Amino acid sequence: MLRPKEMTKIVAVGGKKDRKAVVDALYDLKALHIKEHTPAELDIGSPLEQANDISEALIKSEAILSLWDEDVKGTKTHADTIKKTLRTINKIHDRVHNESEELRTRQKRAATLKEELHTHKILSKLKLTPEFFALDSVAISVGTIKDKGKLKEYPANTHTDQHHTYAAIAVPKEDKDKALQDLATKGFTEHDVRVRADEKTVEQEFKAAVNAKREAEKQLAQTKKEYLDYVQSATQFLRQEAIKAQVPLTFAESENIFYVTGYVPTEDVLVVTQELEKAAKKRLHVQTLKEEDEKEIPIKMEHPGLVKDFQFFQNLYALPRYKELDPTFFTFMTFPFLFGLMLGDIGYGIITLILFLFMKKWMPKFSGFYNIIILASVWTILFGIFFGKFFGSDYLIVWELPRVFHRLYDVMEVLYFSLFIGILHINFGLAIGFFNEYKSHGLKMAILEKASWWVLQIAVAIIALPFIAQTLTAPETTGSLWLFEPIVWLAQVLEPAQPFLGYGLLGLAVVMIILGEGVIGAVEIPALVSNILSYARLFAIGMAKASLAVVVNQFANGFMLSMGWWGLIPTTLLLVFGHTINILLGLLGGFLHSLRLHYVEFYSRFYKGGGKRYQPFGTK
Amino acid sequence: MADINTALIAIAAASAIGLGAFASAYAEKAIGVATIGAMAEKEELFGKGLVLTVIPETLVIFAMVVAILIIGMA
Repeated sequence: MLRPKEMTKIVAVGGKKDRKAVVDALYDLKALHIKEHTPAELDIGSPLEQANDISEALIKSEAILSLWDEDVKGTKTHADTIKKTLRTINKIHDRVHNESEELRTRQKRAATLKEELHTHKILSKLKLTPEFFALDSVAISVGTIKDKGKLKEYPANTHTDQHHTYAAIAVPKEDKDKALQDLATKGFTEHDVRVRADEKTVEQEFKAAVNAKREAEKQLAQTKKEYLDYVQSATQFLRQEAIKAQVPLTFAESENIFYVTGYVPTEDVLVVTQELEKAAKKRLHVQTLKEEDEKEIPIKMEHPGLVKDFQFFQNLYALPRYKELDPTFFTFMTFPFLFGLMLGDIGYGIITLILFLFMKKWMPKFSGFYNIIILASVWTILFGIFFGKFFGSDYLIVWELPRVFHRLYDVMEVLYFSLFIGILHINFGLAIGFFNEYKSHGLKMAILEKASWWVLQIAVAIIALPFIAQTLTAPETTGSLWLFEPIVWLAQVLEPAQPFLGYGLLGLAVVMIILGEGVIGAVEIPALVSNILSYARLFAIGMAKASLAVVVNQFANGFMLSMGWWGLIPTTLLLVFGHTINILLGLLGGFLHSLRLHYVEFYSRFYKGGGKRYQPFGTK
Repeated sequence: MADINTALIAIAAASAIGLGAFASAYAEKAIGVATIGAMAEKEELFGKGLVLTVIPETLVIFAMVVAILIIGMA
């Protein structure tokens, strides 16, 4: 749980005859993360023998599916071989292609006839009969015009419907072109209105064409219903086969032998070896290798149930490296803690808990993410008890809630508490970093790089001790902290060694940091102060939320006092609306800032990241 | 409560945090834009980009400390 899963690098060597069987076995095992072979002494392999057939069939079946506007859903079984599938898909593809072509032709014919019918109707509306077009000295020009008024100089019939204004204009045949040009400037567009036959014939033809079109559509739908299942299962099968056919490009191959190199979780090596040997009928050899470059090893994080949902944060940021500690468990411990500290209200916690429990039932797709918020809600309730707040008020109906600090009045205490949490969190990160460095670079480097920061903090604490003790023993100090006694006692004990102890340790710490991390480390010293102060946002956001809740409550109080029992409805609305906004802001802000504190302040103490994800052959 | 000294202290504390926040936002704006642009090309830069974006946060944190100290004077 604290480290990524242990991986073993294996290489499987076999004869080219068994390639297909081995590839099938690998695909079903879903355990080998293949390391691609770079062509050196041995060249990369060539695709499996039936790759061409598979590609041809896959292209056609994808085309059929897109024509039908469908996709493959769920898992389907497919029993045919590749050759038979190719033949069947070809047959279906030709049929579907022909039928859709036929449909297109009939659609066009119906559209053309519709146009003709429309022309007939216009001619009748404009009161034109065939004799008008057979005159000697006058030509009739029919078309559309935008503005009827521009036709004043010409004798014309007009008809307006919802789309256009149609006009039939009489122009003298000799000056036809000049007249048409003049009309064009006025916005007149001429249409061709020569008709083939009379209206009745055209109408009959149109009805027949529409029927034919419907027939073609029915035929297409029929074909689809008959073959949809087969095409879907064939497409899924072909997609998988295409992936399998291409994988030998990652193998190393000579004339008769192929090598496949990859990573398998150590606990699965035996099973994988047995399955591969069985598939190749014992004509295969599997050997484990030692991996020198740790950056190549793929990362598979493994965690028990609830902790697994916090992998979401790692996927968002960066996967851990192979040998370093996996921060998911630590995030699981501290993220809800900081979230709860910022929200800190019993009522809000209960509301978010119930809300996200419901969301898990309605939209189970993101239930991992909901689990994170549910855990954070539990901590919110706990901190609500700590701060004694229920929907912003200090009273649960009428009984005053007990509390350790008051969010709004014990300002300085809450601030010191947040900074204290910050110091704990950052030192926790340093401890993890110390462990990581110890494992990878030995004790001396670990002490110089990480323990030096602890010496620095102790040195600063010792230097500041007299001043703190002075403030604490001054007569006007108030507050509920019980740490006063030990601090004052410690200041008295260390009195004779001041100031040498403090400044001496400080110098030692700076030297250690420079030795451990270089001059950049020394420049980072103010960054430590800024990182600790960054945790003051826990105090700030908490106070903002509490203040907003108190304001909403006071408004509601005002309503009730001034309006008596009539104020019940607006008060309820105000309370619901105000607290909902507060909860939404709190969820967003708490999540974001808690996450930022982890990513920036916590991780920068120990996390390097940059691992490659474990993607075994056979999974998407 | 209502005298000119308290008012000036309040104005001082408010301007301290306000101007500090403005400075920090101005600085982080440019870095944030560059980070998102880099992330659009290479998703792995999210971590580095985030850390670099929040480096100017120290401006507003020190401003907040100053504001709290000023309020402590009242």
